[in-house]
Amino acid sequence: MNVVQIITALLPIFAQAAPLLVRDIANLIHGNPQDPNETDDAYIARIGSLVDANVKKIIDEDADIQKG
Amino acid sequence: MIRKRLILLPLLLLIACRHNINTNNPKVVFAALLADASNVTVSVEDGLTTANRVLETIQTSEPEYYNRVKPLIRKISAANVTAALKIQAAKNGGADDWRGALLAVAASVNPNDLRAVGLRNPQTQSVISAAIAGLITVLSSIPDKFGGVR
Repeated sequence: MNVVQIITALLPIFAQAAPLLVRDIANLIHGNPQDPNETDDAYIARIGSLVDANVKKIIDEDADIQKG
Repeated sequence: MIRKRLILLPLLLLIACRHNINTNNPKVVFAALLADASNVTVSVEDGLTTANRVLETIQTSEPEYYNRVKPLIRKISAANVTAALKIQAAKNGGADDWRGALLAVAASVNPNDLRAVGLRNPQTQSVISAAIAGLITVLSSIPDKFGGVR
């Protein structure tokens, strides 16, 4: 059993006991870290742009799926 | 060996407890949460795109599976677009139920209905299984990530 399997097995337990911890792990995996010198406003603007870019990508790919 | 690896677990959890933002500013915490939710919708769409591409290659050889699963892929994708747009609206200050929309993506189909069963060619079965595995994993993770906190 490797580390990933152990964590995977434990995640449902944490999901019940500490959803915020699970969310933090997800954040860590996905990673949108705030730069140490980045202001709050700059960070919010940067990841806001990421959300906008994500929406565009999803709509484009959905169009392919719906027509395919 | 397992013991050594178990020692790593608390370390990993300690790292995981470290927030990747520099502040407790609620606006920043909320923005980071929305960005994470948005990344999940990208992971879902990536899984759908992979599954769809493989599906298109077997349309003529496995028409029954294709006709059964293609509408499900379209359905998940439509729900995912709705979730992505609601996350974006929430990011822009709207009161949209983005979390409910994301959970609706996970609930839009029964993952068992996607599984590669009843295919004529066993090789196709393994290819399809690999193609949909990522999608099923992402869909299954959504309630754990976003279902517990309101």
